[in-house]
Amino acid sequence: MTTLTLEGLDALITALGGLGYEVHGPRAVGGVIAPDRIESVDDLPLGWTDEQSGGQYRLRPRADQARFGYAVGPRSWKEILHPARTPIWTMERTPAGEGTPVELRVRMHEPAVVARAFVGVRPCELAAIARQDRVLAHGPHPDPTYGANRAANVIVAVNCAEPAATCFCPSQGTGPRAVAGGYDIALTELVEPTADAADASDAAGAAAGPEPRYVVEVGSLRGAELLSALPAHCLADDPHDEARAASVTDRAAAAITRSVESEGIKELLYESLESDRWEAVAQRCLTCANCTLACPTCFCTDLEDVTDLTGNRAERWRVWDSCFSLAFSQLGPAPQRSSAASRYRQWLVHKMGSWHDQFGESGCVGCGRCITWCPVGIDLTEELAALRQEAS
Amino acid sequence: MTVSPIPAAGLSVALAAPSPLLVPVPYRVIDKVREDGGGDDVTSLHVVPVDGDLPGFRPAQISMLGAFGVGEAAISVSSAVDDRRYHAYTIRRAGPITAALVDTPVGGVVTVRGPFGTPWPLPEVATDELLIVAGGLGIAPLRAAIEQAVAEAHRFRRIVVIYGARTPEAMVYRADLDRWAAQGVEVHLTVDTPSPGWDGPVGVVPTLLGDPVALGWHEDVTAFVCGPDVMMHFTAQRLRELGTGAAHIWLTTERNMQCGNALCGHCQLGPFIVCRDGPVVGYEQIERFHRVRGL
Repeated sequence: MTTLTLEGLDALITALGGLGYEVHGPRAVGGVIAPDRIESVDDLPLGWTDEQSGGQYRLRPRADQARFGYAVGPRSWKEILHPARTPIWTMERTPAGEGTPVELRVRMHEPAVVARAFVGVRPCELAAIARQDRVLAHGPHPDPTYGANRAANVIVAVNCAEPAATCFCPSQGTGPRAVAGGYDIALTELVEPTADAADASDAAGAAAGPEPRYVVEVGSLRGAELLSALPAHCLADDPHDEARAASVTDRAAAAITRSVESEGIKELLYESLESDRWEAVAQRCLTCANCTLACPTCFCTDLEDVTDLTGNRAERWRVWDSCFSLAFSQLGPAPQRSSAASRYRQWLVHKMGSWHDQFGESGCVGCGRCITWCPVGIDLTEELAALRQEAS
Repeated sequence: MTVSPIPAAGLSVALAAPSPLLVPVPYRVIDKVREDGGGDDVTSLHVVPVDGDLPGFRPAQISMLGAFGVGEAAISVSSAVDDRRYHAYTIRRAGPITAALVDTPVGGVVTVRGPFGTPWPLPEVATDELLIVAGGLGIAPLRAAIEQAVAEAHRFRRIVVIYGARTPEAMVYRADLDRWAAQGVEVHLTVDTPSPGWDGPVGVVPTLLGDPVALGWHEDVTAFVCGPDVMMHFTAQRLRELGTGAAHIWLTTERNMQCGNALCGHCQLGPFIVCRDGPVVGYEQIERFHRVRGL
């Protein structure tokens, strides 16, 4: 098994840029760690980790040399692959003249293929991208914008070493180690512990210890090609590194405390559609839609038509939407889901239950974002456990 | 750009032209017909493509009908499948989009994406009796099925149409109903609220089932039901009480529909994505979801 030095990771990022890829990776910006354009390992969030719980997210300093010593932030790769605003078409109207009827000309927006490399994609996020692939690219009518964004997409995954308290990927079978492919290269970061961890808070930004190394797994021909182009002195072959990498993700798995019992969960939810629990959660739910915005699999969109001042040119835009909004279910004069309870139920039953019927898998990857970013800390693992207890 | 042609772990689908259902097609309004007798404003637009041929469709299929700069609404094609002169879309003025559609003048242009969706399984019906139950504007997605059943009347011992409306004035397709009756269809009309001159039954459609409309037993009847959810729910329940097999009852699903391509998530009804799995679904599949309020 190959191991990459930090210089090797830097060379990989530089090489991707040199090949024409727009390189995106995690950065600590604005109080969160989120995908951003990066040019080198210097842009990675050295010296930071994240601390998460229901309704809480804080960056905390860390003293070691980890570049990927955090879980996941509020923003996910879906912002790039399935953008919040997408043009669909423009339409020009030629008003009726003397003897000529009104005419409409439609021009579809043709999305450009942009080659992007994502560095630092978590295993749960690989699963989330695969979920969105299934919905947006492999359905009966593939979405052209999503297809163009994914067509030349290179993914360098990084396995999880520091799960958050809100994580539950093992329940969903998606992490903390990438085992289902979906990447070109997967890395496991090996970090030497600092001599005195108690100094961490004083040492923010001034990390100590030897540089981390990255145990490599190759997931595609492209990944192999990228690796083969790196300078030889950046690559090492230590027979113990495979076991070291495994122990990193084993420790991460052991540190994860939340879980969902997924056996029979779809039937549980279908049987619980008229449970009182929905009303109980609605007492807390603000229907703010934060969970759907932060969720890396939530894909719902709305269509918006706008005209210019002449009234003869119209544009259609597709924008993110949320099943927590009242207008989402508007049917004739009234919304179908008028209560907060019915909207929370729609979200949870779809995410964990009916997604199986619609797309053959769960819609949840266990990243915990919906728990962290819920302003009142509603925890779906708790809600599901309560429904299960009620049903038993 | 010097990106290598070697495949990445990314997407393994070829980039193709967008699905035709994503592309709005201009249609000319060649005629408008006011369908109701007052009260509601229900109008049929008769439309033809500005360029190209009228596509085929099957009864109950829907299209996203668009008004320039306003938006789209999901409307079923309500003309007969073998009528190649135009497609009819019957629309009730309800919100800004449907208002813009029904206000489109003759000679004006609307856009159409479709028709798509699951049809009434008329070719597969193997029973002697075909029962068609409509509530309100639910008659519109059934009109093409009735026309086709009448054209294939030799397949059935009985064709029964039960149609309920709020008031006699709100009833649509009165001339068609008379013609179907003259062609041998048993037509039963009922209203929630009578007005002077109405001498027919008063009450919701399920109250007609069994008595006065006696039905065959079990495997003898196939029912197509379309109307508000609550009407379909009670109609299906009544049919089950009368012995109609659940596998012989077909309903329609309706939810807010935006993309019509199973991409936007709007038209979910439990496990169903209506634009992909509907509008017509079997009662066996929908029963447990149908009775849940606000799903």
